[in-house]
Amino acid sequence: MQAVKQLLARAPAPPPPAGLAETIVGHVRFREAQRVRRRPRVRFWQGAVAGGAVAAVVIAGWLAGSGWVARVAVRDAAAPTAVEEALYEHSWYASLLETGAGDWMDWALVASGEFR
Amino acid sequence: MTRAMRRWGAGGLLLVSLAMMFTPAPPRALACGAAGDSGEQQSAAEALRLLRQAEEARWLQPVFYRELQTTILRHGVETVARTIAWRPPAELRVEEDHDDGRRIAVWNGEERWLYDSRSPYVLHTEARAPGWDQVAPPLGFGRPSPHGRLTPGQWAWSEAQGPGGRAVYLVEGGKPYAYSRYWIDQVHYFLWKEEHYGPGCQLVGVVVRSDLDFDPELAPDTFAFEPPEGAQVVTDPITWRMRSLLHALSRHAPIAPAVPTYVPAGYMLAGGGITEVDGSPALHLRFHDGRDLLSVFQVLAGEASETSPLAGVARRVSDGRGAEVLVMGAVRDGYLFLVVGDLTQAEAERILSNLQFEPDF
Repeated sequence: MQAVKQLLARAPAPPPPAGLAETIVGHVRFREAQRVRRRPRVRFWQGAVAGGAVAAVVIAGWLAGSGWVARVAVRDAAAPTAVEEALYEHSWYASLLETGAGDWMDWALVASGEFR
Repeated sequence: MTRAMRRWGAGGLLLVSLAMMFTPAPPRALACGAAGDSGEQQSAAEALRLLRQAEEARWLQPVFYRELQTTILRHGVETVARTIAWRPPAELRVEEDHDDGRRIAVWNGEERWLYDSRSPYVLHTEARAPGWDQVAPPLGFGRPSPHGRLTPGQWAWSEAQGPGGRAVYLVEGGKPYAYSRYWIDQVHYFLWKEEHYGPGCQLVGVVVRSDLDFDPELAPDTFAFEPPEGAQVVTDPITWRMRSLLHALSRHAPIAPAVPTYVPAGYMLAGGGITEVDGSPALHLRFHDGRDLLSVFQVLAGEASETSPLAGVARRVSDGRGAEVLVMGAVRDGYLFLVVGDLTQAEAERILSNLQFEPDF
């Protein structure tokens, strides 16, 4: 077995098939070209993911901010403190009086001749 | 940065743009309608003339009509149905149906009656009583008219189709926190409909009128009134008002009402009701001087004590309507009191130190 191996090793290698090197080089170039073609699409989605993450952070911040604004705003119906609720109620009735929506709300007082 | 934008910018921009599209816009303090944009003084003057004409036309001749008023309050909606009969110069009957009672006002040349079925008191005023002439019907009936205080540039008018398809003038205007729309008949200037908006352009009230009759056949006793049996006739308007108010309130909340014996000059008790403050029932007394509102809240707060953080609090804050008001708190007899209004601190302190429990009305 050893002798057969040595005999075969001494025999000259057969020549590579014609055009093998060109085929390999062409394949590598094709793969590279394919990678270059795909790159914008990959980067688009990478950007989309990153942009989505940024947008999510921005929206979360906005919502948190607006929630805080709403808590301190006088018009918020669910104002958390007694002062804010009293202020809201006061402003609401003031608007009713000013617009005339409360025209009749206390009309009895006018009829009594006292409310001018 | 430029390179990064070139590489990944398209996708990022797309997502951020989409996110912005679906994110709600922040609240803005804008006028509730287009009237503020017109800027045409002539149009605004005409709008105010139409409003005045509508107010006058309603009371020029005998009239009968019905109206349905819906008021959107903080804790619910109140609907009132009214019938109104009027005969110049001074005869009036208004019947007003509420969820829990009926209010009737009758005026004639000799006397005026005011009765609310929710309390056993009837107000009776005779022609020679002081203040009789101060109410010159129909002027001043309803709220103190704000029209004189409004800036003409804030109002506009147009022609439109009103309730029932009638040709109307649509007059609208006001401020971002007090905006109104009126539908005025083009023929006889009757005010068919009103819409009112409060802070944040939220709808606060709608009035719709119907069954208009300019030549009504009124029964002979339309402008007469007999007090119901058992009702107590009161001649002093303040006493009547306080008794009626306290009687009505006592049915709704376990609060021993306290009434300030001092309010700044010009303020009159204009109304009151039960509300809720910070989760606790509260009594809201409203005083008005014809221009500004003064509120006194009495909050039933079990934990209220002299150590309450609101005892002695005095803050000058925006009321959301373009003005600053003072909010001052105090604790008396286990109740938290809050005074809100365009006051000095000394005035608020004086109100809070002159609260009378068990008022003798």
